Amino acid sequence: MSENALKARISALCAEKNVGLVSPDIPLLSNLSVYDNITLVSRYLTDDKDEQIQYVVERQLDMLQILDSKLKKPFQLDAETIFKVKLLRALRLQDSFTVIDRPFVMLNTIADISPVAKMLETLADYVGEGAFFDFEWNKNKY
Amino acid sequence: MNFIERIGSKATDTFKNISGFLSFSMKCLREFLLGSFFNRAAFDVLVMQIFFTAYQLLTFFVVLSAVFGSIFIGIVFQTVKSLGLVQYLGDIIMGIVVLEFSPLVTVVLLALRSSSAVNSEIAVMKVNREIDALEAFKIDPVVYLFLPRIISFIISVTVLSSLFAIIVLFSGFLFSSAMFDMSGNIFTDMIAKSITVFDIVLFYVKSIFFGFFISVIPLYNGWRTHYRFTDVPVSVLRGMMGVFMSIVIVEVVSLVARFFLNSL
Repeated sequence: MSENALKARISALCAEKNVGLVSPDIPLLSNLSVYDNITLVSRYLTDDKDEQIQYVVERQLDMLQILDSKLKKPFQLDAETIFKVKLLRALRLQDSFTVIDRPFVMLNTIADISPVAKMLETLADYVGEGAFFDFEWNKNKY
Repeated sequence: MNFIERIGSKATDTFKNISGFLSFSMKCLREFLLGSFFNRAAFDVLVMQIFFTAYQLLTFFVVLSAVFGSIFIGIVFQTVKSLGLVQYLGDIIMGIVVLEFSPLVTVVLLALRSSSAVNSEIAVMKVNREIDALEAFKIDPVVYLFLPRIISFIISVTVLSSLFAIIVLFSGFLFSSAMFDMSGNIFTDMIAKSITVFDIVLFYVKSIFFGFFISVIPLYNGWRTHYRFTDVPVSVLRGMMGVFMSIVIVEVVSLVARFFLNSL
């Protein structure tokens, strides 16, 4: 499947469902910290209390072992941390279908999907339905 | 492309640009009237923007107002004295220095400092696809990015213009007591007699329009930047030209309005 076909399929899915997207085309906001990037979705879209959001997000950051990066800006992060932050941001969208788009573009040093699977396993309590979208030639990495 | 086609193309582009700008402004206005800026994430941005646009500038602005305003009012007083127009002193201070000079200096300073920054910030966000990221998470960029900036500019221009006017009036009081041996009571009385409610309304309406245009034009130009870094300087250039034109237009319209309403 070509890149354009992948993007078209994701766009169609976004039109159909409430999609929490983790994608190389959807960056973090460069002027916000890790914590603000993750909590923005909840603070904008929900009436959840700040303390409640903080508790959950700090717990999730801790589970992925990036709590020390909470106040860092995106330019200070490595690719793996950026991926983790994008994943946590996507999970903040309530009742959403999580789409991980081309994970090997975002994490170009990993040989197969197991590190991502491990992250999802760690966050099992927070992860709902979801799917990976990737090129045909990466099939053997799953 | 022949000459007629070029004119047609130019006219179409201009029309698209103006209609795009109007619809963008209308969307911002609609969200303002709906009170969308009370969204807590947008409100945080509003507070930060007021901090960046007005508060961070405050010390420099007060010093500039004191120095520049005093020099200007000193020259005005000297001219008034040499021409023997002391009886019109109040009208001259209020009409020229306070109502025209204060908002104009404030808006030029804010346009140079903050409009260009906002234009490039939004253009870079667009090129980096950060605006797409907001939309992907159902965050309206008008509510989260644009509206807080517009409101902060309107508040900043209005507050800083008023501050400039107060500082200039204080300088005027010092100069009048030094040059004309005028007491505080006489000076206050003279100023009060030369100002009408209409002047105050026009001062604030003008400040609001200045604040609106020097924010909405750079925001619009930043937002419609194409996904290329080479388009960022072009966007800032267009935005700043638009800001300059809007300052001139608002100033001319307010002068014409004052002229007509004073002659009624």
